Amino acid sequence: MSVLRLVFAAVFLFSGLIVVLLSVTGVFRFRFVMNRMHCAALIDSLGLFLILTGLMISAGSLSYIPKLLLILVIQWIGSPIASHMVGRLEVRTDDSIASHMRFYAEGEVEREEADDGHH
Amino acid sequence: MKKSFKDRLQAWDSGQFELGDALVRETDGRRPPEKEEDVSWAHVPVGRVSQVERRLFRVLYPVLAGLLALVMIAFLLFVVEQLPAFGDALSPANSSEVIKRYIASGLTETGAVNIVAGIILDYRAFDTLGESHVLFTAAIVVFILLLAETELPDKPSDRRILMDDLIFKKTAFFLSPFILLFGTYVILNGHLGPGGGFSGGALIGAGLILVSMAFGPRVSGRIVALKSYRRIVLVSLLFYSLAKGYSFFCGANGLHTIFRPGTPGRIFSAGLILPLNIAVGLVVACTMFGFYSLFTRESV
Repeated sequence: MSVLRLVFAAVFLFSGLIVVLLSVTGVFRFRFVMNRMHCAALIDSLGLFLILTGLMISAGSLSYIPKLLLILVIQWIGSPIASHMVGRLEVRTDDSIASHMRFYAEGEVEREEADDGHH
Repeated sequence: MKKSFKDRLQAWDSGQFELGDALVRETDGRRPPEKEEDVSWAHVPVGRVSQVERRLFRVLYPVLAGLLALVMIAFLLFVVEQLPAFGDALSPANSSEVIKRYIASGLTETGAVNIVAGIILDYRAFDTLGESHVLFTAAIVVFILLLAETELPDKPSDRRILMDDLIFKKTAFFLSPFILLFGTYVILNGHLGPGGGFSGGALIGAGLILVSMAFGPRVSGRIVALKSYRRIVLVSLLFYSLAKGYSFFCGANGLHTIFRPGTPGRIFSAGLILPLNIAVGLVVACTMFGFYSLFTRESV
């Protein structure tokens, strides 16, 4: 029983660490804010979920689980908002933003996709 | 021609091929303009270095960096392995005379279940008093420096970026009461569990900053009146100094008749530790919030 639990916990913890490693590589590799945010978001969503799940499995007492869940919920609420604010600030303040990315008007994406399907 | 994995890895490493191209839609099919060529090697004086040297550097640098990292990892793991076990009574940190005294009679002398709170706010309360005064002095100096600028530039644009964001406002609306509540809990629970004035005060300060960012200074002023900042900090520090100074001049047992140690584990126990925790928490929270208010050019 405890061996099985250890194995499960280790699998979750290590996959969480791999996600964090990939994410950090991406953060250092990319040059543009939005791309870096795209990578950094992995850590506090999937990476945190996997690591906390591993900790929940390996925790000795059931009373740890609600606390870890609370951490997960707070992070899942907080960190997208932080990313949202960073992205918003970048769009508002970067003058050369149009050279990095393209903004679509409402309905433009659907029209373009329909065109692509047509050709 | 299909490139091998190694070629693509090298191209990715040298920056010729951006993974980001797949993520960001380009304008009119053009690549985004390159900022500088090969930023990752910008610290190498490229002009004066021969091609061979450069290639050698490209091979040697990652190898040596990796080696250094491995040596550091091995060293740290070795040190961790040498550390005494958790709770080891024979380790040097646990076998000194002072620590033995704290552990043996800390609970009966201070009444604090949290032995750390008992140490920092009872045995070594003068240290903590000094730390609070360091915070206070730093706050005063920053106030002097920032208020010396007579003309306050009006920058509503930065604020509006945060203010008119519906997502941020809604999240702050739901999160900030919990943050403030948790900060209060950490302060009031400081003598019973992990926590205390510094961490709880930092939480309350952060919660106030969140409220102020989301809803403006008028709403956060309803929770803590900005004008009362000086009064709160002054009263807290004066209370701390007087209570602890009296206690020290009377041989460290001055106020035990008023603030009794009580039953350990109760919320009203541990003598002066709970009031001192509240005082420290108020100082820390007000200092954090005051800094934020000053840097965003609001009145304190």
